[in-house]
Amino acid sequence: MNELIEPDLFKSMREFGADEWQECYHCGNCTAICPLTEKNILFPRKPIKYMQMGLRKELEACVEPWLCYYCGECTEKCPRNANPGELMMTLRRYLTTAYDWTGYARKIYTSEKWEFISIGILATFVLVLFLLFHGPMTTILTSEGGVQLNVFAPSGIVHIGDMLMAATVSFFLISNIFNMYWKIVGRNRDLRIPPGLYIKEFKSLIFNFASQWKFNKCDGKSYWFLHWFLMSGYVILFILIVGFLGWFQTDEIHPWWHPQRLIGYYATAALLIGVGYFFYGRIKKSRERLKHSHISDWTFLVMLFLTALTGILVHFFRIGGLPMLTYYMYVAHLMILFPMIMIEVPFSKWSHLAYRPAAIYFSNIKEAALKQKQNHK
Amino acid sequence: MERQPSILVIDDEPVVCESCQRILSKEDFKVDTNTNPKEAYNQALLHNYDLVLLDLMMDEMDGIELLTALREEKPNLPVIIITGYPTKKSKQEATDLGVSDYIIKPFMPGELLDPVTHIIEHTEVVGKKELIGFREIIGLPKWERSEKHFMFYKEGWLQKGWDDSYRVGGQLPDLDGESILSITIPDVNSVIYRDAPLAEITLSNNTKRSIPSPVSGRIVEVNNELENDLPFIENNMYSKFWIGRVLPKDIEEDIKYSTTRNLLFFTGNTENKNHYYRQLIDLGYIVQQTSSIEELMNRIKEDQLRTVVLDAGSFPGEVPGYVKRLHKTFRDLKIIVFDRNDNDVAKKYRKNWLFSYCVPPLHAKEISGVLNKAFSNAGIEGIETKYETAFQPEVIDKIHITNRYNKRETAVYFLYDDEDEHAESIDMAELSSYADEIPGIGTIWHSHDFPVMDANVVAEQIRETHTKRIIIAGDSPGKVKDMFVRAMIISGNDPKDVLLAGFRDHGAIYQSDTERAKAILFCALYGLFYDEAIKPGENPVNADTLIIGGGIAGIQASLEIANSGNRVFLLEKSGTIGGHMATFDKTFPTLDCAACILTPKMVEVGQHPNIELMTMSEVVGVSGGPGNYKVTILRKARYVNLNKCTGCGICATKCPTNVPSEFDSGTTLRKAIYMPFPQAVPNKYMVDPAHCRYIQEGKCGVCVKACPVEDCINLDAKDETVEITVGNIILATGFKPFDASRIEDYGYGEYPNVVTSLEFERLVNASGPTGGRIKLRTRDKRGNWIFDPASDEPESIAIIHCVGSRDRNYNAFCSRVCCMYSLKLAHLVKEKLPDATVSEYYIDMRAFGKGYEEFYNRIKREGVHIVRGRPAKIEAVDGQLLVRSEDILNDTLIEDKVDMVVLAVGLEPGGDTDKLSKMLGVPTTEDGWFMEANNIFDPVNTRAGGITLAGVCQGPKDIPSTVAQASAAASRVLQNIVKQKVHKNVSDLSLKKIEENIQQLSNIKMVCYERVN
Repeated sequence: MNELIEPDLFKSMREFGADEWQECYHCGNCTAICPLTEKNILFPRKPIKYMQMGLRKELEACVEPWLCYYCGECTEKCPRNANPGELMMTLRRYLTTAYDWTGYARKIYTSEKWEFISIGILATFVLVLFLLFHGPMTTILTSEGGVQLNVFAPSGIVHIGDMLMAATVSFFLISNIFNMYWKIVGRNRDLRIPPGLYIKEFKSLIFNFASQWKFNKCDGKSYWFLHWFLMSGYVILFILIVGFLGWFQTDEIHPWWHPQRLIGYYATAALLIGVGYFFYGRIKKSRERLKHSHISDWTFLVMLFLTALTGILVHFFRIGGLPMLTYYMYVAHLMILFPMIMIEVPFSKWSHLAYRPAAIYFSNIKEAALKQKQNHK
Repeated sequence: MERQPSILVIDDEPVVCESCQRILSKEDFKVDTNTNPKEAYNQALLHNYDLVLLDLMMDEMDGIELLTALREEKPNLPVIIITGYPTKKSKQEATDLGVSDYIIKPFMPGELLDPVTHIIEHTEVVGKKELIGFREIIGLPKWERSEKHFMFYKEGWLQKGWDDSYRVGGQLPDLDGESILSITIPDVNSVIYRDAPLAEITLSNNTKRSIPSPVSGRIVEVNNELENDLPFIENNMYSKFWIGRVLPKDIEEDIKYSTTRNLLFFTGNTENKNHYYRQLIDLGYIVQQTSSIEELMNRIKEDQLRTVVLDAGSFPGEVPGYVKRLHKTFRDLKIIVFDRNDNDVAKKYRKNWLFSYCVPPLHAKEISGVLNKAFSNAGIEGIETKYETAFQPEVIDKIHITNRYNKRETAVYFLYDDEDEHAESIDMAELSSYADEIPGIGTIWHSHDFPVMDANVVAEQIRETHTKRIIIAGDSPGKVKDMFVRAMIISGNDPKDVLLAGFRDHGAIYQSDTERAKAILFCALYGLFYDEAIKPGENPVNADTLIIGGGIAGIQASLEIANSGNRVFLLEKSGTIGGHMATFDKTFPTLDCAACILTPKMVEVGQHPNIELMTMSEVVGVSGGPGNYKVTILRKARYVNLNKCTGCGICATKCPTNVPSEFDSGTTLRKAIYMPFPQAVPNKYMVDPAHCRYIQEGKCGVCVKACPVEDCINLDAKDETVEITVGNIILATGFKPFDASRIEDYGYGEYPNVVTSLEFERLVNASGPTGGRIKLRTRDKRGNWIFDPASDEPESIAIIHCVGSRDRNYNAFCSRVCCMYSLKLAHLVKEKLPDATVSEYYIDMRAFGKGYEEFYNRIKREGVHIVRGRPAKIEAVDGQLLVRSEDILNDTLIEDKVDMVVLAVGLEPGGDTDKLSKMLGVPTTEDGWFMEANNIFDPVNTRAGGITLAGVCQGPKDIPSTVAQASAAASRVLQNIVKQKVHKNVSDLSLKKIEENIQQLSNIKMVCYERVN
């Protein structure tokens, strides 16, 4: 198999993160200390080799970056201070841009201007839509004293918007996953994968997607738990606004123990606490993995936080009977939420929700196929 | 000159014509070229050219033919030959026809311009009959045929040449440290009168001096080399400080007013005769020399000489007597004596009888100063006539020559990488401001001033700043030299004027070397060798030597020195010599038994009459200086009388206290009274005061009772301090192994079967805990973990490389020997336990020496698994040790359970290094080893005078290298002892002194240069 070496590959890596990995002299300490490595899953040293050698295609076929949860032990143990942990993070950012066939991801990862302008454009888009099409901003309250939010923004219409958004996002994301598949598994012509294998391994995909169980091998359970907590909050809200917006965005004021409120509170709490925890960690730089932050890390956290914050404020203003504030806050909420989901999910950091389980899935498939091939010999 | 000078270039290669035209028209000459010789001949006849440039090898007509024909019509036309093929015959023919100069192709612009302008502006063609040899064509007429002596007229002098011209010059006595800023001299064809100023000299303190001309006449030639030769002038080197050649109007009249200077030189030493005699001749004096006092007195009487120089060195002790005789006989004789300055000698002279007392080594400047004083008293009376002179500075073109070293025409380019700068490197800002203050330096550039290293860009800068010389200063200045040379050529300067000041090459690496870097820069400015300038003075040396450290390095060095007949003090901290090598089992790659090759040397040291062995001793204070160090040594009490102890060992059998043995790296126990190992030298017992019950608590004393020799053990002995005086010190303090417990992940100290290489070495050795059998550590009855000969053998062993080395978290350097000794240990395991699995985990295999690569291959053949990859952590699993490592070459992960893990620990500088470093003034490098004078070509000397390094204390190395270095250190010491001199500390030289040295050397360099010519 001939492959062209790109001697300048390392230069393009610089924009995605620190480049101390050039110091690596391949002792293998990092691979040895990583709790997630197995006989044929060797990282973080192997990707460094590909990077140093300029083997772009091999690099893009790596699933290992998605298997790493950045506990940071490899960086602590490295005798050359080559920071392999950060390298894996850099690779995750790089692969996110590599899987994206539109090229847009690369733009926003390498240029802050592009990211902020994109956010600006999408937010303005939402604002303009509202300016043109919003319902009457009535100040008459409901019988329970709540604001008539659905007059201003009928949930039926917003729901359609949500579904369109979900569809677009899914389209891009799923196509990127296919791209990922192609790079990792598909281009390997001599490895024939029997279709049955796809189905067999599918359950591991679901399992990992839902639980992120491998996460807890690093660093103990608390990190895994907080992440899962955060994730659950987001998932719930996503399902609600895409599937059940009518029920969720109601003008009725239910009692506090009503599921509509409880679920909402839970999800918001999960988001705020989770994000707050990660944000604090990045500022304090208390652990190895929190010492290097890229602009994409910050934007993700900030946008998520603001979405949750504006959301809960909408809720309180609504039941508190403050119409104008409610309307403004609602618009703000959507202005943040829309660009966040449109950009982050298919093109930026949030894509890890798909890439990580997919990586495990593909790597399992590959492994099983290899084993089958060997057994047949 | 109103008319533009015109030149004809005749060469059949168009390229040559074009380049000549380009170069010459820059200087405002009118240039005609012709590639056809016949046409050119006609052209030359028709027009009036001031100069013809002629090629010799032309197809149509030979240059000599052309020249012959031309000479018939124009005998006085100046011709310069340019040719690429100078043959003796063609030169001879050309000179016979009379050419002014000879240029060889290919030539630099300067090589063409200089003779051309010279000829156009200054000289007449030299006729055929006056030429003597080839050299004369190129240079000025030689003055060898002239009368050697000068005739002096006040500060001027004249010398008769072999044609009718006279050379005139002057002298500048009593220049007290000032240098010459500029000289103004008249131009060619000026008329000069006797007593009128011939040259006006401006000194650096802005005073002016003038030199009166001894001759009246017309100046036909002027010394253009004055520009480069101002230092000669300062030294009164007359053959260089001639100002012009004059065709005198009335030489008979002029000579009446000048005098020759006659003196007698009295010496018996043939060497001195040549040296001072030549100098005196060069200064223009008529010198008669003799070696007999009677003849001297005769000559003085007969020739009525008034000045005599006595070289006292050739007649030791007798000259004061001669002076007395001379003074008694000739009352008004001026006596000048050259003699030493020490008190015993100087006292013997009655100074008031002497005109002057000079101390060799004497510079021409000094001699001329003294003699000038002696002769100037005998002055010429009464010449006061003032004549009109045509030499009026405002009217006539004059040549203004300034001192090269004071002109701000040198630029310094500092080459360094901003990214490489860190706190430890040389302070570039300080260097830059130092350079700024040196008078000769006009421009300073830094690396960032030229982001693009393009010769054209740099040439622009050179032209703008009027730079004539460039110094490139930095770690590797040669990198950019080519570019600067090109830039100099493009800008029209001499490409040879690019000088390098290499910091790293001269040992200026760290920030503490900034002063040294300044000195290097200053040297470069003067074009001198840095090593010459920093030669510190020398001290006499005491013949004794101190060697600190009794390992193989110390042993080797002490034997080398002692065998030459000189005395050595060998100091060792512990109770025995032998060092770490004595603890090894076998040595790589030959697998020699370490003790078998070491102990004979140890015994030789112990028995050598010239070696005074001091064990249990440490250096606590050093005073004095190179050649004469006074060292205070603390001799810790051994508590056992060295002379009486027979080494029987009965005391040890009775001693109740057990202590882990240092020699065995803690794998065995020794008693409180013990011999470190059975082959220790001295082969005597010693007491460990920290664990002896009597010394600590006052109880016991069993050993004393058991000892069969009376008064052998004295548990009340005290430490002593002694002082010794030595001339040289050799540091051979070795290393200490890296403490593996610093790396917690490897579990050293926690898991009993994780051992260091030194412990394993003892385990495998026949005098170790198990008699050489490899066994696992097990618990004994009291719960201690020990190596028991009866316990189980390990079935699998893992050896991990680079523990504490090549690791930026611990020691970033490579300890060099661990790869090889790990392979050796693997071999030993395979030898003793052939069925055991042995794996080596490495990063790079460093098999760097003679026979090492073959040894590596042998180990591989013996079935040792060599894995590229390093485990990061050792965990205890099911009573075994889990080793988890990436197997890089096989692209898989190894998770192996082994019985024993050996950590190949690295070498670190010993604990006393800092203390010794401060006491002796030997700095350490950033990784803690002692700093050598130069890493590449002088790893033995240090910057402190008389202190050398041997062995691992200078840097990790294997045994053959240690032994070699120890012999090298010994040879340095012996060199000093034989010379009876040792260099002082380099650090004793202040920057100011180095600058003075450089300026002095620069003068001497000029003198030597003149000698060669």
